Amino acid sequence: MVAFDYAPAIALLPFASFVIALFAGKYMPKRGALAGILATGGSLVLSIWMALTVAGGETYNEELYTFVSPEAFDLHLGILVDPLAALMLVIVSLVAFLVHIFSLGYMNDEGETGLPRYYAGLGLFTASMLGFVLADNLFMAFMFFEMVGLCSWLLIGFWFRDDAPPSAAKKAFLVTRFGDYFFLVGVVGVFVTFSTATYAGSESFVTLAEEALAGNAGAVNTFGFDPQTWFAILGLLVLGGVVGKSAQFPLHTWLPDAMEGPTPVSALIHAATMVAAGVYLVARMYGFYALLPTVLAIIAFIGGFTALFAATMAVVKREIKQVLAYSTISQYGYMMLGLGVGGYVAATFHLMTHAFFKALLFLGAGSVIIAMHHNEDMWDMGGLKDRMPVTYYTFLAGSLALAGIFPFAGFWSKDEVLYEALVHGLNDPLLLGAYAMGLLAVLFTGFYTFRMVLLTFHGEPRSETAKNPHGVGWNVKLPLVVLGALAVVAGFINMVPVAELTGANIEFLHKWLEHGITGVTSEHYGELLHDVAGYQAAELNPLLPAVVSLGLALAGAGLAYSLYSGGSPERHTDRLGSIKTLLMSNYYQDEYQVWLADATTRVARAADTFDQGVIDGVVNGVSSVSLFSGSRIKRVQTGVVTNYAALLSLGLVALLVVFGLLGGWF
Amino acid sequence: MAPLPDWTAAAPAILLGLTAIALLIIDSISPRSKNRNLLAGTTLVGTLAALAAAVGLLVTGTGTNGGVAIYGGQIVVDGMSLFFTIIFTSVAALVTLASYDYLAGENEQAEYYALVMLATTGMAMMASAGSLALVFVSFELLSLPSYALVAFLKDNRGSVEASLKYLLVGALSSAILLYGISLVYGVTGGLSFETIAANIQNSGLTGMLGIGVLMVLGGFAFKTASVPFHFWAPEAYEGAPGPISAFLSSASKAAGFVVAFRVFTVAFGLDIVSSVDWVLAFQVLAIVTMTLGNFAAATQDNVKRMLAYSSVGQAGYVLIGLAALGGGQDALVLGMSMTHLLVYGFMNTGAFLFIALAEHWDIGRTFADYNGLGSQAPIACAAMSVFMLSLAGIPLGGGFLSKYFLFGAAVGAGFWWLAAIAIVNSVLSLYYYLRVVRAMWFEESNGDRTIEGYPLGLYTAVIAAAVVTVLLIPAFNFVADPAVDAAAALF
Repeated sequence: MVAFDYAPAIALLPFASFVIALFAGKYMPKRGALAGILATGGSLVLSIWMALTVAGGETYNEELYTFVSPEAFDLHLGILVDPLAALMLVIVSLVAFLVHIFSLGYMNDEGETGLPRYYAGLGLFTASMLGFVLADNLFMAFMFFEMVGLCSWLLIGFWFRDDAPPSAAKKAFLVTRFGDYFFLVGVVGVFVTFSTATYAGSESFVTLAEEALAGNAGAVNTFGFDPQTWFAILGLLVLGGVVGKSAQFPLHTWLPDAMEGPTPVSALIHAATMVAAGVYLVARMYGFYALLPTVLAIIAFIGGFTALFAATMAVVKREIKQVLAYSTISQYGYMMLGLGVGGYVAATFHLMTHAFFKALLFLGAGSVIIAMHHNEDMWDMGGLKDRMPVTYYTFLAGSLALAGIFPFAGFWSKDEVLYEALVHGLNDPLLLGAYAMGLLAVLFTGFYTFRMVLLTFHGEPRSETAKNPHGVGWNVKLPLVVLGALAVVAGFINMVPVAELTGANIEFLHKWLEHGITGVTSEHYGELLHDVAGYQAAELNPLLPAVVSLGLALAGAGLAYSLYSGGSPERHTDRLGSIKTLLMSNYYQDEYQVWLADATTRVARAADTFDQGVIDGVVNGVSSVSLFSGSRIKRVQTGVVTNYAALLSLGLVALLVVFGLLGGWF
Repeated sequence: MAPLPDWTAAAPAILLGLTAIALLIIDSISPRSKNRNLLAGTTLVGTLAALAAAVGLLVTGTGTNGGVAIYGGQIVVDGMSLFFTIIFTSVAALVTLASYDYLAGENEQAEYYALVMLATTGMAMMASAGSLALVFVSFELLSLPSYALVAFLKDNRGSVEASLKYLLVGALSSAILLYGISLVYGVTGGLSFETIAANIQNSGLTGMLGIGVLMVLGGFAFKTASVPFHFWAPEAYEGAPGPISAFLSSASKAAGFVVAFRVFTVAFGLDIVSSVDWVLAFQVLAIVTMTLGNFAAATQDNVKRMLAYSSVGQAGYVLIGLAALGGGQDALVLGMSMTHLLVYGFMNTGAFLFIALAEHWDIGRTFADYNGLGSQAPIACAAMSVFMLSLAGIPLGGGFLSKYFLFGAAVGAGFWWLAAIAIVNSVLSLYYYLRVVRAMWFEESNGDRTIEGYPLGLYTAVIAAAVVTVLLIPAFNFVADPAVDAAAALF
């Protein structure tokens, strides 16, 4: 198929813009922005073409470049384009494209310096994420996963001359790296177990694992473990990388700090790249996780807990981006919950809608921040509604979607996640617990979302800048409008409750993910979940749970309205007393991780002493012994030719005598 | 078209000999000519013609099926002899190019080139020798011009002294070789390799044969600069003009190896190892040579002398080709040894030619004198870095692959301890090779050194050697396959 010949270009175009911005950016009119916009625009067009081709029933699964031939380990670069990948490609390239345009307003118009570096980082970030999405095997995915991590470090620390950004960048890098260690071990484990790490096809590790569990072990080496146990270990190791990148408890601490980066970068990180990478990875190898009920339950529980836990912290934050950061953690918790309870389609759906409305919210927040001259404190805002209507209405659309209010995008997807959790949870108390936490989080989400909207846009201006905000240009408004529209309508592609009620065939995303390559379709995952993992769905009308969650969301929003509406709202958070301190301090998660880091430093210091003393001592010893013996050997060369002749003859005689004795010549 | 007569198989050697004669004729017509273009041009044309002939013969398959035996088996042209002729002529071409600038203003240029050509002829004959008589004659044809070439800088005490030492040690070694040949002749009743191979088993004179074999081995060890016959090498390489050091340390050493390979595998054979364990002797020699070469190189302050010792160390690696025989991987081990010699021919020649360049600029001989040279002559220094890293076995040049496969073949043949010692030595060698790189690129220049001009011939030679060294990574199989085939034909 012709379309797929251009698949590599999707990732290569932003890479080209990275190279251009890096080397030629400073000579270009917009310092590399135009190259980035063109490249991501090209990627978007190609991605849509891929999606249309996939919609026509075609898929693509090819090796492109082989590092090591399949005899020992199959290390190669390849491309897998199926419905899931095509959907993700469109999401990532669309968000990246809009973020590039928005950056014109946020960075260029604000007169930032170092723009070529910024656009180079943005291009490489997009390229890495697109490469990650296109990857047809875990090895390649790991390479791009690490590149994504590197780019996040570059961009979060973009303003490296201040104190906080470099430190936040380091934290993001180190915390995600901690998860990636597990991922790396998991990848190696997959290789030694299956000798391959491809996702799809009859020779993929997913299929091999399925066959091994069916009793046909073949060449699969489980090191003496029961296959189920061993695969669960591998699944949990890979999950380590996912928990780090997707900012799930307990490795979520890097994400709020990452707000130190430029706001468009935050939008990119939270909506399409980096954080999405973790969830996408689980979805990508869902055929593997669907075999492992224990791991699924852990994923569901982590997800549900993270959703609630992060939502509570978002309640008390003062800064607009901090609220959004905790909401991201919470929303990715929902996705993990969806995946864990067997709602593969629901989680993918939420990944998509969240990408749109979260990108929208961040860009909206960016617009507010431009207007507020880079003051992010919501208590200094207020009343911006009338002064920046485009931002207000789009931001409101995003907020309604985030809070899960009917009929905005987030309602449909979050509701489907919760519905899946409930129907499976009725047969499994652990999943039911995860559901309960997810449901409770809806209340908090409604509350913090509307607290944020009310404090930012409603009431009387609480500072001089809020009275006279800085205007924003088309390049800010255009992305907001596009995303705002999507935040309203994106949910309509998969209205499960409506379909159930009316019997209409409108579950388009279900249809979309059902076809594709054999073994990596939602249909097959459903069979695996039922037959191997033993998931049973209870019969339940989707209407009642939908009404419950909508009611909770409205209750949260109503509570926020009753507390924070009016001209000059009070600071009610003080009434929480010591709970406020606890929430403001993020449950002391950072403190214990600092303590952990200190302990690690102590171990590192001991290792350093060992290295300096023992290892270097041995190395230095060897080299001085070598040099000393070298200088002795040098003395054999006296410069006197008679000595040479004598030594030469003696050497020959010695050889003759020894070999004569050995060979018995005499 | 009628098949070419058999004698054409010896075309490379004949062409080299004719070039030498042509140079002597030019010299007799216009003595003390300083016409560099004519002299160097003639030499280069003759060398390249010989190189082309060797490549042509190899490609057209002359070396297959046991090769061509002419003059009653005195000369055998097979894959191995052609492979080595390619090494010799390539090195000779590079040396000729470099000498174009190096000899500017010298009086005896015609003699110089004639001697180089005669020595190269000797090497080509050594590679094709089919009897011990021809081995000795061609051995001397190589040695005598070499002595004279080392002493070419007649007003330089170092050059003359080195030549005299080389001559004296060489005379002693030749005597040992000749005596060994006579003993082998006495035991087997023949000089041609076929006769020796036929009679060597049932002579009943094991002791005499053993002494003969070890003395022959000693003679070859002199040519390859293996311990304890290496004493001449550091002195001669240091004292000789730069291009001649390159010539001797690369081509002449390879000539010693080719003759050793052929005599020991074809004439003596592996069957006598139970009584005359020459494989063990080569193992001892390999270990002692690589260890002594590397350890001594590590403590030198003079770059040229460091390279001299490093070339002793490299000879130790190549000796693995003979020391790891009998392990079931004979063709591979020997073939990789030959390949390493070819790669070494380019990287080591290049390194010595860089020294010649430094001598041409007169910038001194120690590591410290090279400080900061990278900023003044970046291209040449980049080439030198390629040589150093490739010699150390870092994958910037073919030296990495040839060393890797050579050690790997030794491990495959069961001589893992030999490979282990070689690897330890390799690690040590990294130290002194990197000293050069560090001095050139990372040290500040001390004092005001001026570089006048960038001599075309020397630069061309150095860069050509560097390019080939790098290209030998992708083209490794093109070189290694014929080498392994040629080696397989010997057993």
